Amino acid sequence: MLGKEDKQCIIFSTMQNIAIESKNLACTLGGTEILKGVDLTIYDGEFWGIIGPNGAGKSTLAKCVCGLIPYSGDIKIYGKPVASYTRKELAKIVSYAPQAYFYYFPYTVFEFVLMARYPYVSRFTGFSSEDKESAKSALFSVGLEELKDRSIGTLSGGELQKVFLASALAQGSKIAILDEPTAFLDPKNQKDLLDLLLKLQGVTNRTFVIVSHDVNFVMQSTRKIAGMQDGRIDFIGSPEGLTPEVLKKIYGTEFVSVTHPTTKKPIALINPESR
Amino acid sequence: MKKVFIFILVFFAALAILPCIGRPIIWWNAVANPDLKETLLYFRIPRVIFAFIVGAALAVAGAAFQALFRNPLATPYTLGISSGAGFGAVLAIYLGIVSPVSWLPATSIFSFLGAIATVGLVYGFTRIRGGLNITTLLLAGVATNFFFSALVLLLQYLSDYTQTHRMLFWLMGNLDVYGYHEILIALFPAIVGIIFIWSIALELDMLVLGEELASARGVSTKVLKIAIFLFVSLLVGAVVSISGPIGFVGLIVPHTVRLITGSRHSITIPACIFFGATFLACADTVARVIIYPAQIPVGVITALLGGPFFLWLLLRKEYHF
Repeated sequence: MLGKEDKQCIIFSTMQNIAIESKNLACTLGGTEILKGVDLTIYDGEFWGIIGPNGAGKSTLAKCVCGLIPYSGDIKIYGKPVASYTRKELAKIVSYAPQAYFYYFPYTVFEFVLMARYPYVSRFTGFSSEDKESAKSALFSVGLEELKDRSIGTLSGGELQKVFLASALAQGSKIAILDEPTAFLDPKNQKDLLDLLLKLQGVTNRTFVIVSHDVNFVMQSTRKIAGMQDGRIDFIGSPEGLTPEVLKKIYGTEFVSVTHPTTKKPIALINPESR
Repeated sequence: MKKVFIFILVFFAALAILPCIGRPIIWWNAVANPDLKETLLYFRIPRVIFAFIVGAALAVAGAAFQALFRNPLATPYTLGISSGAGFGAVLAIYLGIVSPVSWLPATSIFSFLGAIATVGLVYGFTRIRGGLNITTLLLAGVATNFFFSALVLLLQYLSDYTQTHRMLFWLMGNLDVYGYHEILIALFPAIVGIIFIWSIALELDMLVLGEELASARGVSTKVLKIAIFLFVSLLVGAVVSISGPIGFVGLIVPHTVRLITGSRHSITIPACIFFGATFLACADTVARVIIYPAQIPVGVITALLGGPFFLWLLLRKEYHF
């Protein structure tokens, strides 16, 4: 029998809003079928990681959710189809940080973050003082307020990722989608970014979706993981569910699983002796 | 914004001084003399004003295309509009067509039609491939450019000596106007085009971030791209059909301005308007007086002045588009 508190808990969880819902989502780019029917439900305030090998369709899925590429099937953001949002409306709800290996923009860090306020700007007044405040406090949240006058082109990879994170905050969107945020970061920067993501997610109660092929980063940081392979989602579950068997199915190579000595979370290692 | 005021100041200085320069030098107080008054009012002032319009239009169009294509080498002519306009004009000369109206030569009418045809061709070609893909647009423009350039060469080859000379003269660009007809014709499309581009200054900033990031931040890039394409084409087509394709202004002026003001288009665009106008009017004044009584085509001067000036600027300051 369920106690009263358990029942309340169930009611609470069913009342939770669905942030992103895709049903039979398919996407064909340049004649190649990239997504072949993706079903995924992400609730408000959740922290998701999407993993999978190169070419599995992770980034394409992220772009479909942001309405950046044409798709077939359904994606709804807070119950409304992505395609029925205007670009500005959607930008107020979903922010997107692209894969960034090198970016040169002729703008300063502050200008770049301020430009994330575009959906709130009226054509005749330009950026308001409120927009500027918002960009400033976003830079403060990621600890980059001292770099605000630096040119984007002079930043290191770690700083650039934080700038993208600040842009997502400034954009004021409930959902933030980050494509390969750790791809070019050293261990210290990965740790910093992880801490920052966890902190911001706790403080702002945003929905974060991280697309990454870095299995362990995702297993250490997120609570919900979707594993993609060849345009489909093969696995949905917690980090503990990512057993060597599941990982082999997703990545096509042998893994062994060990437990992190301090966090007690699982870690997946590739098995060099496998054939 | 302070830097824009310097450009405005230089512009007004040019407006006051340039019409006086020439042989003879005519100061503004000489309007009492009827001969000098005619030279000033019907030759020099209209010519300076026309150079202002053409220079501003080309500079603003270049700045918009450089942002749209995210390519520092983009110019108002990148999509082949100059070769289309050139072909129209050359065809009119070759066929010996006489304009039905006295105030607008057949070369202008035909070159405008040529420009519009090129734009339509490039646009249609790109749409067949689905959407308005920037790379396809660029390549379609380059291909169209080659095609019409070849037709221009062919017509030149088939023409007699006087026709060839007229064709060359037109293709080199020329700001020689009498009275205010040309100005009135060019003014309306120039104002509409320039105001449109100025009004989307923020969107141009966003486009520099790349289409994907701009869209993700709320810019309707599809509509925006088509609007820029059409407005810039109209602007350039209208101006070039009267002045001929004057080179370098649309490339050099936006870069020079960015080196001084930075890359925020809300400042870059007004600075381009005033600096483009001033630069072309100065170049044209040099072209007008340097080997008097003959005139050098203004395109030669813009390239001769602009090229080294631009290189000097690049050496002085590190610059990325």
